[in-house]
Amino acid sequence: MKDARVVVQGTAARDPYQGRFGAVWAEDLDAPEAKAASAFLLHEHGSGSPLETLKRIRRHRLPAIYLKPVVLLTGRESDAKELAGLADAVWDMDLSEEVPSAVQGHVDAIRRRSAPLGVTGPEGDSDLSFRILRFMATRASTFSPVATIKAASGFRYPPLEPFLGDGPAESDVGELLHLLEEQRLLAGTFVTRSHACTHCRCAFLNFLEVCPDCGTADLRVDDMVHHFRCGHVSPLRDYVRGGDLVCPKCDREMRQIGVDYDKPSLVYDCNQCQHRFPEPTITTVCHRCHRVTPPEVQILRTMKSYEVTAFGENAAAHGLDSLFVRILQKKVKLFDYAVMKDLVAAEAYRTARYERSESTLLVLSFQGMENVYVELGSRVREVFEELTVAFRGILRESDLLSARNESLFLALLAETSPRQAQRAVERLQEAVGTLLQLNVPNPPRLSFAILPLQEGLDVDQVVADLLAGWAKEALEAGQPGVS
Amino acid sequence: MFLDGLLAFLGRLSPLDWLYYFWPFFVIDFARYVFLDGIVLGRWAYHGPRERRRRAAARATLFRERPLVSVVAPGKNEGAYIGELVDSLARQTYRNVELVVVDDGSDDETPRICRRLKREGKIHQYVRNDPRGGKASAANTALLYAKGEFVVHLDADSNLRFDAIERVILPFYLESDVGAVGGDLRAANPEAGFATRCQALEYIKSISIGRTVSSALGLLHIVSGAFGAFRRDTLERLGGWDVGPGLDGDLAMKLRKLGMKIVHEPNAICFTHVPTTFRGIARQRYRWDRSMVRFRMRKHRDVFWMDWASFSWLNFISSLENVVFSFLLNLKWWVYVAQMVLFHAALVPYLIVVNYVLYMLANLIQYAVASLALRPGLRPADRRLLLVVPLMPPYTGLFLRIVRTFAHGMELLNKASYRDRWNPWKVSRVAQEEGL
Repeated sequence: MKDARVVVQGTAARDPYQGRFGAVWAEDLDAPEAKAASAFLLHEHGSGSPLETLKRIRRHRLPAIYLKPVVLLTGRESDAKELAGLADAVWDMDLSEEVPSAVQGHVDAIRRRSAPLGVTGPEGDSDLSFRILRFMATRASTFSPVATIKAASGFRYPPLEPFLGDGPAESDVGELLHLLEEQRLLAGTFVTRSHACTHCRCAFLNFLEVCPDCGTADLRVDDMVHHFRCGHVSPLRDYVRGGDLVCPKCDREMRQIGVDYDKPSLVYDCNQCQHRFPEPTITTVCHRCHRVTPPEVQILRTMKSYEVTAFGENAAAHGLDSLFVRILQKKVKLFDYAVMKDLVAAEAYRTARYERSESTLLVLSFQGMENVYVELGSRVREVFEELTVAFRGILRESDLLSARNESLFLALLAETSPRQAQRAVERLQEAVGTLLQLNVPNPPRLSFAILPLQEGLDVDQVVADLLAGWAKEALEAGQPGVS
Repeated sequence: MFLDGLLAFLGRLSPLDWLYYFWPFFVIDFARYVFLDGIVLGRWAYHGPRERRRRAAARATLFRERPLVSVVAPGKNEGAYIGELVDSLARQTYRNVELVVVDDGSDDETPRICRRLKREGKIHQYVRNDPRGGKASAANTALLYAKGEFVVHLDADSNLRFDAIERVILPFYLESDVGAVGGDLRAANPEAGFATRCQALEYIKSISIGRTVSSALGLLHIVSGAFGAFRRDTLERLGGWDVGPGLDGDLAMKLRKLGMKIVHEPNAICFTHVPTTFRGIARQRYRWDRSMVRFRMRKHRDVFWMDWASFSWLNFISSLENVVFSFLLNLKWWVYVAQMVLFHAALVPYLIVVNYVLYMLANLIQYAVASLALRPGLRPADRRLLLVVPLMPPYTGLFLRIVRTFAHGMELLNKASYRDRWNPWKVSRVAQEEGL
């Protein structure tokens, strides 16, 4: 692991191992030395936040970076237990100055499995679920849920966490893994079940017994006692006289349960409205959104541990169309991105030559599309079906559509002026906006640009400029980055 | 030849001979169940118009005050019938009703059915007792949850006519000292077989007419557990139901001792499922008849003590009537049989035929009177019971009499009711130890 690189943030001089290992800057993971490194070393007490650095690595789009083995360097006084769960391996340098053979073996295995995995798109692997699939395939282990109070879902898959955003809902990778299982890319094994809030999917629910009449939880519960001798039935407290149990009906002392009396049921008394009842209403209160919901309405999730299937390994090696693109393809003819560029050039040439009509290029981008997977899980399919309908609504038979990835779309609207295109996009914006707002707690933002077709239009350059501009806007608005 | 002999025998009979050879019929059964019933019912009919005006006024008060009525239905493995009960409650003319169902340790589909009905809001309180505690504990559990001013106790396998709740509550508004009202019971399954037809006719005779007469005479000593209404505060004062079997008669007796009236309301009609086999009838009556000895002759024997502080002549006569007609006069038949076999063995075939004809005619008269008195509440199936009348003499005179005699004997000599599986063993054991 001699060519491993310590990843540093901020001032490199603060890293104690700088002299021993080469360093790369966390801010510059695109650098050739970062790509070439056999592993990344993260120091527990290194410059900046090791967790933030790890997130930068895992959220990178290049497989050469995000699949790279990450080894956490610790010492005897280490308190980085949680961080250790996120890294691929831990090297206690106080115990061993040389790389432990287990760590070395693990790193080598990951590298061996990662080597054949090339880039699948022009800007790297953009699809979050695909990146996670590839990561899991290269780790070749079982990813099990760990109960936690730090995630709203109540469970974490620690090694996968750095791939996700920082919001409470974003930390729930379980839905995404379930979606991959539905596509037979992962095989799940039952671990446990967990209730989650149907409104915000928080697992921290307070199950309450409440009065069926007034809804208060201020209840008094007692054993119902049946005295065999006289058939008297009332709450246990009615029988208590001093330290003894005496029947209030026949005044006989009751000595032994099963011989003199028994307790056939429970009795509840509401301290607020005095209602008496045998079975309270069970309800749940969510600790996050504070909504009161009957338990049968709440989500009952099955928590599973996951392994990559043979089908999943094949998909990890050869690429996988994003789910949205696959659904879109069934309903709308999608052109390859490279072909689309040629078609745009030809149309620009045609309109310039004949000057009889005008055509428009529409660039659409969803910012934060990854959230949709994480937040909706298997329901994402329904939302994508609806999105496809919205896309079809603005496209005519003569229009051409292409997807560079599942977040960026180009539409060539033939014989359409920018003004007409504006109206179509407004319709799309309204339909998509309503759909996403209703279904996704943190909906992705739809940005668009309407470009009149002109000869010499450089599609790649235009798209790069637009993405940069939208990314800047998103950053200023505190939104997720542009894909 | 037999007919010639029979006619010759009848031709020889003087009026005194008729009395000598058929004294059980003329002196007791005809006098009590035809003649006396006829007089009382005639008086009842005579006062009908005035009674109707009083009832109309009481009804107006009832509907103005609209007290909550708690219908309590304790039972075990009665889930199959609960739906009918719930539907019949939904059709009532009196609507301010809550239903409390106590499932006394059912081991069939009852819990599932009741929970579904509870979810649908058709049962207001569903209580499951596990382990089973017996009828008294289940009824007392229901009482604990009942909120109504009046409590109507129903067997869970019963259902009500559309105006039954209104009519069973009405007597409380007619007289302030009414402690309990017994509803009228009719067979819910009269045409399920020969056994159910016999019981259907028997219920009309003994409950619809018999209890109406007892009620009119102030002697009624039972409010049937299948359909009876009580004031809740009175029930609570009495501590609810005591351990049975026969807890309905026991409760009525306790109310009488409090100086309260027990009345029967023949127009408050409850349909209850009766046993479909004679074996089932025998088992049921064996239990009922033993309770007469256990409660009337043992537990409440104090009503016969004239030096008792709460002695009441009416309670004395009521219990005496019950003991005499159910117990002593049951024995009179065997005395009569012995008399005839020992002294007139040659006439026995003629005596059997004539007795049969006499009792059948008495039954026919009773049925005619019942049809007139209960006309608005009779169903077509009840009218068809006329065909069963000829079979009633062997049913009541032989079959039920044998069962009753055996039950009385077993209870007197062996206290058999304490081993009845109707109560859980834990309860029966304590009752037996304590001599309750």
